[in-house]
Amino acid sequence: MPIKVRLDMLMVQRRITLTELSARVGITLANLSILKTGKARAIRFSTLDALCRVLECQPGDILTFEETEVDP
Amino acid sequence: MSRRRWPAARIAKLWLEIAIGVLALAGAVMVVLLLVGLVWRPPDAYLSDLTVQVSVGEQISRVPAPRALAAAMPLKISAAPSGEPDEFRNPMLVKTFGELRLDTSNAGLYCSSMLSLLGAVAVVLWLLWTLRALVVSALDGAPFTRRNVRRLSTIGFAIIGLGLVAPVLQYLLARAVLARAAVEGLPMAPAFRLSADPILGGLLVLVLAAVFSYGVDIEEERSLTI
Repeated sequence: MPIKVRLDMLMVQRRITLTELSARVGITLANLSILKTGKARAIRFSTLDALCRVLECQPGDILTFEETEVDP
Repeated sequence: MSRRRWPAARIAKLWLEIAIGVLALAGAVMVVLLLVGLVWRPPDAYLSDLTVQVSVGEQISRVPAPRALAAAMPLKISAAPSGEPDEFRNPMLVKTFGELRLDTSNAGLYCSSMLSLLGAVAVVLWLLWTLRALVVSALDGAPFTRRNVRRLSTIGFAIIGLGLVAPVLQYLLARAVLARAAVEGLPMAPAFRLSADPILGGLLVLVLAAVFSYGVDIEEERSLTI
């Protein structure tokens, strides 16, 4: 999928662990891990809102579009 | 999805477990009876209750006894309390299906009959067990899984298969018996009775499996939405 989640980079920049982020955002560690590893199919606005508040960033900082070759 | 939300599933599980127990017991009794009948049978004794599916009547009109049943059993008709006199006439039973039950000294035929029956019992037991697994997954709060789709598909194909294979086996057994014995005065033919019910039932389960597969897609989408 060309949409990439840049959560790991933001966490390093903000010096926050996955456990702490999970506690502050209010989503489970397992779900946050799914999001971080790019396995998620979709993200709720409410989740995005909570992440942006905690990480003090814009949605565009978390999600980026990287064009890849589409399989024929 | 707590267990409290699925009272119907709990009742279904209980009934399925009762049915599995009863059928397993019946199967075990059948095996014991078969073995006892075969092993401890005196050489000249007969094995009882070999039952075959037969048809009597128009289906065998190609043999030189057209409308054999009507000839064998002329019918008389009279008015029922709610009917009028002479409302109907010329009753003729042109075809009928039935079971011919007889004792036999042929152990091979008897075993074929019993093994077919045991096979059917085994398939039904497996179907009930798979249904129980489906109900248990619903009780556990995770019915929409690929495994359950496979289970439903297999149940659907098994029901259709059973509906197609059972009449063929019954026909072959009846043919084998009627090739060795004829009932005097009442010409009979082996009956091939293909019922649409198991085929329609199996197709219905396959449709349910397809719908379930869609449910699994939605469930996967939901679980991977963060």
